[in-house]
Amino acid sequence: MSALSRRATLGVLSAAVATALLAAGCAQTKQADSGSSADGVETGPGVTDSVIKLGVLTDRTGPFAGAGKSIELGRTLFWEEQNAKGGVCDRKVEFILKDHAYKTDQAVTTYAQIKDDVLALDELLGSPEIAALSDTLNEDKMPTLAVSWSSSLLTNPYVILSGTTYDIEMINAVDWLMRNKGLAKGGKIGHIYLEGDYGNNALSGTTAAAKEYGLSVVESRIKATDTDLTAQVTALNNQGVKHVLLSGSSAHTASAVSIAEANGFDMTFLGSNPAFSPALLAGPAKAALEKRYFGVSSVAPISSNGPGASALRTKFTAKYPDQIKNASPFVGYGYGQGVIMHSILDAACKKGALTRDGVLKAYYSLKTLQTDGLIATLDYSKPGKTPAREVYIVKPDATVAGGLAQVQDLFTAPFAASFTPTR
Amino acid sequence: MSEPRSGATSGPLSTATSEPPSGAVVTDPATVAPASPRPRGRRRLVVVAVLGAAAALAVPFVADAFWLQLALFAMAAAVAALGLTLLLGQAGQLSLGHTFFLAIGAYGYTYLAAEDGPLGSGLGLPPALAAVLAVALAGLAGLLFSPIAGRLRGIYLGIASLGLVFFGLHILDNAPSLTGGDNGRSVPVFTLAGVRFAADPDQPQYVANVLFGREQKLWYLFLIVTVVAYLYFRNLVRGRPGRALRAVRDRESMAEIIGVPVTRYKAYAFLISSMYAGVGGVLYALAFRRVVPEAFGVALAVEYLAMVVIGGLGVAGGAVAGAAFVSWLPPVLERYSVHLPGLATEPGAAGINPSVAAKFIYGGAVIALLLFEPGGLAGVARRLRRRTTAQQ
Repeated sequence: MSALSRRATLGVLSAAVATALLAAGCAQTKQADSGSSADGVETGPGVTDSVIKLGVLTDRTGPFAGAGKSIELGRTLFWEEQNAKGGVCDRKVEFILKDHAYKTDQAVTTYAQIKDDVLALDELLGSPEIAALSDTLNEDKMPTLAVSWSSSLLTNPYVILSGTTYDIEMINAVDWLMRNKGLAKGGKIGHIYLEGDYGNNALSGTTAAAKEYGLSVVESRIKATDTDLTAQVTALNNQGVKHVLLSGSSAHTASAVSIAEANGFDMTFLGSNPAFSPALLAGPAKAALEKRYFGVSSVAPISSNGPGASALRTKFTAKYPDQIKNASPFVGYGYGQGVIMHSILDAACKKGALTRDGVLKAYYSLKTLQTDGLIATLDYSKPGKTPAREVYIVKPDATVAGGLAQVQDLFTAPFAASFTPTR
Repeated sequence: MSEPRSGATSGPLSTATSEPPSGAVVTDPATVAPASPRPRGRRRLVVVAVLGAAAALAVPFVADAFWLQLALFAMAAAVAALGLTLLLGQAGQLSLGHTFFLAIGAYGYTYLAAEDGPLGSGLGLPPALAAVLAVALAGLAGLLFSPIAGRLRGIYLGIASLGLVFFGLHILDNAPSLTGGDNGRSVPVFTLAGVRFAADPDQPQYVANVLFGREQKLWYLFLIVTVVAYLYFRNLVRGRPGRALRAVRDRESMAEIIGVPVTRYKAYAFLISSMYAGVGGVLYALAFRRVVPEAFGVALAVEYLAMVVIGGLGVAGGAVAGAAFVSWLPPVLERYSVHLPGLATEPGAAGINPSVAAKFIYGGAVIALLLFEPGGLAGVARRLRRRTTAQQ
């Protein structure tokens, strides 16, 4: 080793140490995570004397951008009104919104960006993103309202579900089909489902219901990239299936229903909550959908006459008059999440702890939560248990607000009331 | 044009990108001559190296979690991209299946290091050993695929290797005890020589008054791995194997005539490339801390192709810069796009919102770069260097 390079190595080391120390001196340490405010309320990250900041990790540019935007409209409606009334705990609620474009790596980086500045996540959209962040949420003790209804999320104590899970939706749907649409014991029921958490969870509900009610299930698994479901629908018809459950995207729904209509198959379709979008009624599948399709959902359609939905419809029409036709159930969902978050924060305030721990404790103390029928009755008293078991049955109708009309008010099938997911 | 680049070099990856002071010698790997730097060049090299190393060591003290997390992703991507640029740029084999090997590294490490439990099976090996074995596993997979690669060329090989990605996704979704299924699995914490590369909420560690959590510790680990991967690549490319690979790339029959065993070198390229992907995969898993199937889809395979093309094919510094470009620009634009004027920030308002604007800018930057400098970021760097040497 020459003298020059040895001196160079020494130089590297000393310069590095010097820079590191200098940087450390200048660096701001974020230790002031919790403190106490003037009104005696213990405060956590994102909370000051006048503001509570919540994070929103959503999809603005990916496949679920439509759902993300609808939720945002609902959330804005709720919090603008609530903040005008003084907010919660004498503080205004503000949001830091980030787009993860339905990509797991961007969800992880955007989360890292906002985690120290927010008290909780008001929205984390997408099953893969929730799964990718699950351990991190645990470690950061970050209360998170999830936009996904899979029972598999129930294992994480920090993830808050706000509705009926996919499996219980399907059990209720099967029950309703048997009572109203001529599905009889010993009969066959088809289920076209998307591979992945959402589809699998829905299918597990169908399988359990079929066992309970003495039906046989004909499974048909699809991928997100499948756009033409001719093969699947034809195969189901050939096997004599007259009732088909759908747990895919709205494009899958449009394809399946149109194919049955075009071929004159005698089939009734019933889809999970994400399987329908009001935009379908502006397309060629409109007639077929109105004739053959029903949906199951724990969120009231905005056209519903229930008190929660009616009030929301009035407010929505006043603020966004030109968008009422396309107001999907996600609007109601966003508004309902506002109600839930408000209740949690209010309870946390009353206990004097606007910290992450305080928020989580407040959430578990909520027990029964009503949203005037906007979302099914929620019960948070048992950690790890499904929070809601009721559902609405809806059907497409281009003449009403949001394109969905209520067919059946909130109900719970007896088997859905007792069902426990296996994992 | 050099805007995105200079933006990138100011951040935590500065060592990796400002490393090529010696790269001043390597202009085109195809025409590499043994370097004999002048004394003045050597001194400048030392100065740059000192500053680079100092900056790199200091980064965890100044950067926040967002930048560190981004840097972790970028370094994982850089290592994997080095593998792809070796395969595509040096050996001339198009692969769209790079994420498959990445997934083997990531899931391999997770399986080997995880304890056997109710959430999935595992071998519970020491993490360092698990990482090495996972890389070996990725290499083995590459070797197994190489007979197919030996028979196919160009776009045909690209399509065939794309099949690997679908095959991989199918396995990931359908072997839950191994992979955790749709919901993925937690990645075991990496430990080496008694250091746990994770945050310790109960006993927070402070170094010079800065909280040293997971990202800070991982930064140093990733940095070392990336620098070693970079130097190994350059060494390989300059030596006999590199010349042989380029001969195979440029004309197979000629390579055969001058005595290069073509099939063996094609297999060799796949082996090394997939081992690089394996290392990248292990880093990726550690950066993610949970592996989910969605992260290893076709989109990522295309992103890797974009990285090596944007960076400049076959060049080590290019792959690193391309990885930084592709993995940084979208989130950084997303972070700062709210400050752009004239955007619709009100919910429900018509017009372009900041997230969409960020996507447009990213797309525009990629197109503009390739339009004006087909040699990618490496080409831009070469131009800048030529200008500075001309001025001297």
